[in-house]
Amino acid sequence: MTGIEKPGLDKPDGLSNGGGASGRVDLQNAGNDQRRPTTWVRFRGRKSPMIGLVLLGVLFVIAALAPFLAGNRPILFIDGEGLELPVFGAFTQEDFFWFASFITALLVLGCFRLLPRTCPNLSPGHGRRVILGLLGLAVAVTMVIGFSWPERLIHDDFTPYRDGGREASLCVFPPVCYAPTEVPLTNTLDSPSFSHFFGTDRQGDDVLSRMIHGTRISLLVAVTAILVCMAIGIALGAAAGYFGGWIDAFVLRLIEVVTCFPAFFAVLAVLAFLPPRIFWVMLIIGLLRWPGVARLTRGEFLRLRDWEFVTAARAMGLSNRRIMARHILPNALAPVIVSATFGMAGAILIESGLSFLGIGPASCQSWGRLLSEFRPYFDVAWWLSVFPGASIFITVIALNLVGEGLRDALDPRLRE
Amino acid sequence: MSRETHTAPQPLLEVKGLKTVFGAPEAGAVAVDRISLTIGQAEALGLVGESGSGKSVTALSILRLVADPPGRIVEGEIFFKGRDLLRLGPAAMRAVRGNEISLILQEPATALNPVMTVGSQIAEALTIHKKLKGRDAHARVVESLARVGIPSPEKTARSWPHQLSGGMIQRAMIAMALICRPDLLIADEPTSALDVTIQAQILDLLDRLRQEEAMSLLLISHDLGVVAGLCDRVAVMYAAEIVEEAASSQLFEHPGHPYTAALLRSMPTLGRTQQRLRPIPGSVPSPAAHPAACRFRPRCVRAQSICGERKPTLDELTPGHRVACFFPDREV
Repeated sequence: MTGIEKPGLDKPDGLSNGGGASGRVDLQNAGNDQRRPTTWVRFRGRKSPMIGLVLLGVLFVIAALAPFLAGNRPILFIDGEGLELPVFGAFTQEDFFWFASFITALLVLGCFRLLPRTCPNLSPGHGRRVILGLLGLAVAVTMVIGFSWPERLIHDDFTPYRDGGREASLCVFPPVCYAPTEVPLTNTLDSPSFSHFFGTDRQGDDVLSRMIHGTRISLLVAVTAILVCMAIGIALGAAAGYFGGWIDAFVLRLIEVVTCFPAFFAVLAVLAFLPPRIFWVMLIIGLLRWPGVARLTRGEFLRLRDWEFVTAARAMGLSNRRIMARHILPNALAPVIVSATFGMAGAILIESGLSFLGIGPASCQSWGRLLSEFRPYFDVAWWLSVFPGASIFITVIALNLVGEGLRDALDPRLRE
Repeated sequence: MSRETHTAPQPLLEVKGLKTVFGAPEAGAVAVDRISLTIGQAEALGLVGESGSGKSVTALSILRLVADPPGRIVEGEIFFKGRDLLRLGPAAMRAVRGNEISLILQEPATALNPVMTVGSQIAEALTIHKKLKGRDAHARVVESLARVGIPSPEKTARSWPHQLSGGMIQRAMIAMALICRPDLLIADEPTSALDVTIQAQILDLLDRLRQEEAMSLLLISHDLGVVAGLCDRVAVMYAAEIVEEAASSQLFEHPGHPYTAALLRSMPTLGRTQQRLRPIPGSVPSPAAHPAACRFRPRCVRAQSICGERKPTLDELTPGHRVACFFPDREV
């Protein structure tokens, strides 16, 4: 329970969810030896949630480091003119943000591992503040650099070095040395081989490369939709549960109304009127799926507001806002986090379903879109459909495993 | 009102005709019925009574913490340092809570937030009222934990509530209540959930701190023994009303109200060979259906026909000793 005290911690770096959460709980554990097993210890003790967590971690690393894993620009290039890192030269704004979030996740994990060891006298509260400070700084720097990221035209082409047309003294390509959109129009619909691990599509593009870059969409949809969900759901649910009265009645009616919309078809209908951007898909999924979160939050606030410590906090002169945010919310968050994990899986499925039907934005290389693009070639190249399908399947399974593990780890009845 | 003036020239807290009800305006239950109390500067007042007599609601009403809905303060005035607390705005009221009037609650087990360290919870009061943060606040927290007799205050400040015992948590709660050096401390059954040895320690601690800080104390308890040892004056509550009020020695030597007398007889006394303990027959009437006229009449041994016709008023028996009964036990 203590590991998820600060929901705010996740928001600037929501993509490092899995790794970040585990590291945070560890600090608490390291700081207090005589405590009963923490959530993290209980979570770690079971196999399937850990498999899910590791899978999600791998997916995050793949998404964040996509240009280093798949692309036609070398990571390291040395010729007569000296050393070059061409992969950074072609970095887009998106690439930069993903890379920065990866570095931030590493930093946060490192801090939580190292801080309790290097400064054992640091209280958990202080430690968290130091880490939050560092994180804030990192996010600020990232934002400044990211939003002033230059739009560049890339002139230099390194494909001759890959295909053997030219020689350099050293040229290290990513493991998958094809860009997702090269459109060579040769070697189309190749079966998996050592040069194309997952084969090629109908334009001759490497399928694995496209899949690696598509990972980003799924994770981004999951995280953004769930952040929108949680922001609305927690705010409304907290107000309803804490204040009661007409606010409660209003929120409950609102929940009933929104629950009536079937999310999938509502997104479908709304997207018909909006510009086809992935952002809208995420926003609408978030806007339609908050009632579950709101209901859970409301229930927890209703339960906790009559606890003695809340009365004690009021007797100390704390404002309602402070009591809600600092005293009740951290105690109410456990079931919300669990449902958010399942919600992420749901969001990925909705996005994949939309893309499969061809509703989503055409420019985005999501797994659902790959699936719909590959489906007509099922007779000649069945493996093409298997890869994106299996990826969606594995991601959703991983999220559900983690959600289930969290649910069990946070369940007070299962505590020894 | 002239009779208060000679005991305490300017009372710190003066409650006049406070009435708190729960539920619907007409059919609701009256938890506190037009009670009046005064607490002087550095004075300790005990408020005793059986469960359900309205003691805790009185405490919550003074701080305006009665949950609304279902509870409401419908009548009365609560003067604290000359200001009527019932007329303060929400922000002004928050500035009083924890800063000038503090409250210690009954149940230590759930009185601290389980996901915050003890130190950071205590420091919150300092942040709000004294604008202290970080190291300064931490130093004050450790100092106040040491003052309430916690053996390793540094470590305790960094520990979580579940790592502390009930007695320790109650000490921490006292430290939290006293950290802003309030003028009035309201302790609502501070020792009921603790075992007897710890009880004595906590009461000693409260007494010592009160004298050191020259702080006023409103001690609420169902235990007359606890109140006798600590308080200058005692008020006895029965069925939402105050039935007797006197200096504590006076009250224990010469109880005027039959209820007080019965309460004393139902309690064992150390060092006195006493006859059998005699419980009071019957139970406290429900706040939703108080008996008419004198509320103690159904359980009273001295009851006569007038007790069912008119309501006795809280009248002075001897100076400083007020009793609400038609047939008080006059001392010989």
